[in-house]
Amino acid sequence: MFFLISGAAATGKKSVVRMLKGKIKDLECHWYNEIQEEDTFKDKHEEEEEWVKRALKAQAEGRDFLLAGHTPFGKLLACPSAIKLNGINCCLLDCHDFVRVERYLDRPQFEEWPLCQDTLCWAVFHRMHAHDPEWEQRVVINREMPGFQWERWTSWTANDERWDVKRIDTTENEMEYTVNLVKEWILEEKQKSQILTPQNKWWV
Amino acid sequence: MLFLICGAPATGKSSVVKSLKDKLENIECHDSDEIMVETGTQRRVSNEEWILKALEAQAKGNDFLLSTQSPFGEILAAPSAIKLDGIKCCLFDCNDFVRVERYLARPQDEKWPLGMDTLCWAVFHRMHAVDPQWEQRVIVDKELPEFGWKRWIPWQKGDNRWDVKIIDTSENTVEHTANLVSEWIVDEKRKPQVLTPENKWWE
Repeated sequence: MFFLISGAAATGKKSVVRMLKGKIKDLECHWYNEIQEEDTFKDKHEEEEEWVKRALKAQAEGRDFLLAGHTPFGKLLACPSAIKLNGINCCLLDCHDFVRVERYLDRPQFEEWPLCQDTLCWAVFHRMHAHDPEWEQRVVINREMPGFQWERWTSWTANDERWDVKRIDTTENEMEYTVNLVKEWILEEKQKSQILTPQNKWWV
Repeated sequence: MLFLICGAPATGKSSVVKSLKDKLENIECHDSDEIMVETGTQRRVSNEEWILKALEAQAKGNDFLLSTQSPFGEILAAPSAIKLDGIKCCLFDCNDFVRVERYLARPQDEKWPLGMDTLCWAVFHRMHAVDPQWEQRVIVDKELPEFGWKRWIPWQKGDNRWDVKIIDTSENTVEHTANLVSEWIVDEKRKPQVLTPENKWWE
């Protein structure tokens, strides 16, 4: 089963991965940028699909897989190999703009990613996309990504049971509290029957 | 004094101003939609018209309440803003989900479809209200060099001249928000004003 912790910058995704490691049996936890540090993938387009392939390897060995990153749910669902996963669940970590700005400025700054309107507008997109798959699809759909199947979900509407994104607002949370919420969410999802499975042919 | 109710669409600005008309003494209440504009530059130009009306009211001993999509910095930059005996600004904000719901519940205008621009404009308002340094490029209009942008662009967050009250209307009825505005106006009228010609706040 694949668990995506999604969201814009400075909501605590990376900390969740760090603090969740080893807390849930048979769950591999990863931070998206690990793959960039490996420097193997010259084409950014390959990264998401590579994460799905790694999750499939874990799946074959009987483990679940958690990935935290900026990837919106729709992009994960469009990955070529996503249809082979035995369950896909997504949780958005969100927070108020003022808190995001404070957290962003509180950590090391990168010239290529200065805090600006784009930072917060990306958070807006995440918020709305999590709630409604029809929201401004143009932001996430990239027809140049080889093999990506956007049509798997582009006709879905906000009430579609396949589009079930949990949203955790971390604005007033201590990190530990958010980690516990994520942990509870994973354990609950593992007990539910999954909708996004190969047997259900959710992409048809 | 000029009281501004500013904010992106669907926070209840027009409704509150409408409900305050006739309730506040010696205040003329207006909605900037009374002067139709189609672009940001037109909106900024129309601000000067509104300020001239506010100055007429001021000459008669009245205050002036204006609801507008213009952020505080646009009003301060209007040429005649320096003649006003006080300028106070209140931002109406709400969360994105509430904004979307309200937006879709009212008549739709083909020119202004709900989209990322709607919500990103709200983000700008939110950040601009607390920090005059935030992404000034969004409103500082090079087509209007005669405007007084330099009056405030060096100001930093925390400057006492940049005092914008924020009211989150997400869970409020119009009546409750109108009461909050009414209280804010009464409070502000009791305070000594910072943005006055005597203080030369633009220097």
